Amino acid sequence: MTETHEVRDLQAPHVKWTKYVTVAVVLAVITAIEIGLALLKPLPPELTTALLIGLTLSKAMLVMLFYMHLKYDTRWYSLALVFPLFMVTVLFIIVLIAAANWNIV
Amino acid sequence: MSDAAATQGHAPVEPGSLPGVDNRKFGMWLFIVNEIMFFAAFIGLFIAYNNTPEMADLKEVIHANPLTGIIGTSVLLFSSLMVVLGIASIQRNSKRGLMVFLLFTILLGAVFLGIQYIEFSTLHHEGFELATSSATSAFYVMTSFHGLHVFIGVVWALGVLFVAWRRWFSPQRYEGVELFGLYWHFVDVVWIILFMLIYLL
Repeated sequence: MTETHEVRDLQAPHVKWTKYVTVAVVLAVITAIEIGLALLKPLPPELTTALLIGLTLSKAMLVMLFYMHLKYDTRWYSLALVFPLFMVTVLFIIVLIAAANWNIV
Repeated sequence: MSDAAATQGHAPVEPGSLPGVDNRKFGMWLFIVNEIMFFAAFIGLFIAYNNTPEMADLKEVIHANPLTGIIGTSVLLFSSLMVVLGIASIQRNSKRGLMVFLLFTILLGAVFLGIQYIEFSTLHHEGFELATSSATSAFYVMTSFHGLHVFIGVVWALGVLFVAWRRWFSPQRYEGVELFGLYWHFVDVVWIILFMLIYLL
């Protein structure tokens, strides 16, 4: 190995454990709101569905940013996710359009 | 790698690496990308059958006891917290802390699998089999593959626990814990989405 190679940190970023616990509390609160919306049904169904999808994606983002360290790591890891998430979005849009128009049994 | 670099937790950039990228970690992310596409197919199928009468019958039974899903979700979310607290422990050179949090992770993973077994048993008792309808197939295949991932995660965690017990991890060297953590959190993210599709919508 030549001497020109720079050094880098291979380890996980050092995040305070209090931040991890804070994220867990936020996740628990969002989950409680989701359960309340689904069980008590205080809002119109379309709005409930939209809110549930939004809250679920927020929880997924929180886990990926703080627990999977995407917020602290190099952006190359995040970039690896862009294309597959785009493909998944396209897939789900196609499926939703198909499911709305076809009588699948 | 020079000794000085190794003791400080640094390593030379491997030839061909992207700047700041650990090839093992990047490989794990590419594996996760592969898994995203894998689960997207199952989730897409489940969404396609979501408004069918067969799925409505299945969900009626599932929604009759929402506690199963709520406990399962809480258990997996809590297990994710255990993993990151384990990483925080080894960063502070607390090997005992790492082992305790890994033990909790394994326990919670096992509890989740137990809850899934109870759920499947209930549905089986109600007459919902894998081959009952396309909707039940979509449900069982999707949730079973997620359960399989949790099982693999529990086995992996046992391996990481063994390595921790042999004191092979240190504040300078714990990539094994972090790679396992990425996998476990991904399984958690998948369940966050499945929880909404199965129990909330």
